[in-house]
Amino acid sequence: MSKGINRRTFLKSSAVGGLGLIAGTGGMGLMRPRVVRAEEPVRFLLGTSFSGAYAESGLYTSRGIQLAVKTFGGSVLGRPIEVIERDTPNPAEGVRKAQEAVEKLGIKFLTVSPSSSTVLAVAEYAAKKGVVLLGHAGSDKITGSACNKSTFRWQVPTWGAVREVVPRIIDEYGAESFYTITPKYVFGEDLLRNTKEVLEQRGKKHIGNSDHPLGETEYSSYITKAMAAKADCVFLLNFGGDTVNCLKQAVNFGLQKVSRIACAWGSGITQMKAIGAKAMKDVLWGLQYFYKIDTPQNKAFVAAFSKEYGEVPPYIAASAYAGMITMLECIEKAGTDDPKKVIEAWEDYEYDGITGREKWRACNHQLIKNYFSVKCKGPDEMQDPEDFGDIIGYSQNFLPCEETGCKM
Amino acid sequence: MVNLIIAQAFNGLVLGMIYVLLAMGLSIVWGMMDIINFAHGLFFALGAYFAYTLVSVTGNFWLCLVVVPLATGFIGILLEYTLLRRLYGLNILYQILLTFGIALAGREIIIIIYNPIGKSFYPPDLFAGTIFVSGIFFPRYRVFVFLVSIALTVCMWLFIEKTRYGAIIRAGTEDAEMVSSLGINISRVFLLIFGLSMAIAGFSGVLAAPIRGIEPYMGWLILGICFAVVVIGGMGSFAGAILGGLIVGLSQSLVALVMPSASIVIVFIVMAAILLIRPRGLMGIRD
Repeated sequence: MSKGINRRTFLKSSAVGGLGLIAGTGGMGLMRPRVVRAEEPVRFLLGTSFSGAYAESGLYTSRGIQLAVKTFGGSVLGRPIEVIERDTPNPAEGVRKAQEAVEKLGIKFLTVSPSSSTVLAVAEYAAKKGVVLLGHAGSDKITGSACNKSTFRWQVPTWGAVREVVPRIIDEYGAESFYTITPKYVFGEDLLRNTKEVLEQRGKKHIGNSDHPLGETEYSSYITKAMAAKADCVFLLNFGGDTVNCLKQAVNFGLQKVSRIACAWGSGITQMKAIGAKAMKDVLWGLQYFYKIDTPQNKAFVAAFSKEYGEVPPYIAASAYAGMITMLECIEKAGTDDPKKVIEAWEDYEYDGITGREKWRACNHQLIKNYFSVKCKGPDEMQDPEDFGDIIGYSQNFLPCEETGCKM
Repeated sequence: MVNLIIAQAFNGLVLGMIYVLLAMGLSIVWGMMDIINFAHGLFFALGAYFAYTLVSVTGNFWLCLVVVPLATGFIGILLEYTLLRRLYGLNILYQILLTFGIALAGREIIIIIYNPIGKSFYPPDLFAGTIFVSGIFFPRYRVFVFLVSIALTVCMWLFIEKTRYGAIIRAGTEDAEMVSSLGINISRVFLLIFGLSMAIAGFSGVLAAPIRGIEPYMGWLILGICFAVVVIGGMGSFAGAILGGLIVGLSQSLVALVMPSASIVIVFIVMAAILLIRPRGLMGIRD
């Protein structure tokens, strides 16, 4: 998108640069002229996990954002878009990379995923610096007690996710009793607390729970216990690779002969491919996104993504794509890259998005969107290799702003 | 509750037998060649990935049990012949640096070829499902893994205890220099031992894949536990590897029943406790 450097701009910038050198003002300004030229790009930081158990996050967030930039025409405010990618496997690294981006490269727009703790840490920093952060993570706190003016969040938090999935399990399977398997950290505990609340409201029984450490690979003890409990539904509250291993081993043990299996928080198609259709017949998933969502926006997105990468988009790519599009639209709407103006433009922004009607609530910067329940098919019912299941319902469930604990 | 403990003890033994297979190779290489092989876990992961590839192409799981160990064994021999051999007699840090580097590079190559996302791998249809005995479920595939790994362990034991080559290995673990000065071509023995150890690592990768899934970091995770197993059992001891593996597998799975979050840390608690009582490990021949 660069217009190329002609003689005039080259002279201008080298003159400014030279002056800077002579003046010896120090810092990065010394290397780069601080004059905004037409070709000065608008820069964005993508901080996510490119390695370890959540490596799929890096791969697909990056793809989603690249596609968003391409769809948007590669430029915003008439300036080229430049995305800088960094590995942020933990909160400390997250803040360090955000610091580098904001203070050295002058970046004002950050996207961070997938762990709640990293997003929370960067959110605090972003608020201090007055830059814009879009967080992709699940914890209630991000748009609850830890909310701030700089931070927006795309995902339905655990509170709403459970309120879509649990009633759906009760209706679909007639389940009276539940056994939960929970990873021992903030996200899992949030899901468990909400599940218990909903079960109590609906008068159903919660007959047991197994906690497991994050990143566990051997689930036999939890599964043996769950099987002994003979619950109508075994409800998995873990995430990513943990869910994949847990579910595969559960099927190995024949858990499906005793109980129905449901998962509160899936990442959709990537997990389904990793587990394989054979093991998932009748398993119910709660999802932020599924490629079969029936909206014109989603159909266009799925077509573009499939063309680019040869597979349907997983949730992680979809959320990154949708979030980036929103960010770019708000910058365009504000008519400037001044973070304050962009935040103003973002608040109460409402449009038809890939998941249906979407609205960014001004009071806590939470996106109000649908959460989906998908029921899986057996291998013999699949129409094509990616046809793992169908959406059987969706709803929007959010705490009223006063009850989220968010004060801006 | 009794049923639960029995079922869990069985799971622990299966897990333990996988550790035994890995620790055997690690321990012999360590004891005889004085090499702490940080790439051992990589060959476990390679075994799983090779099996995944082979099954995607041929659809035949049984083939993997033969072809994959041959492949990983061959790579092991190549590695010993081209690189490792040059470092014998040097400071142990060089060997650690080399094997550690190979482990990292190998893992990244796996990520480049297969991408970082885990692969799905299922037991052959013959072993899908469970055997139900008096109220307890035993997954067929785990029973199969248990029996096969016992058979392999027995074969290894016979090889080491009853054959001439085994006698050389046993002698080599005690004092490699002396064996060499008796006119035995020790470098050829090292080559064979290293290849054999990598073949078994690959074999256990195949066995474990349908249980614990396949992902690039699998070798890394299990390597730490296997080091603990070798230390518990005693470096260089065959019986120690068996004992250590089963103790670790059992304590992990039984502790998971009462306190899941402690199921990794228990390995190192057991290790520390045994080191306090017997610094050379349960069956160790030297400190």
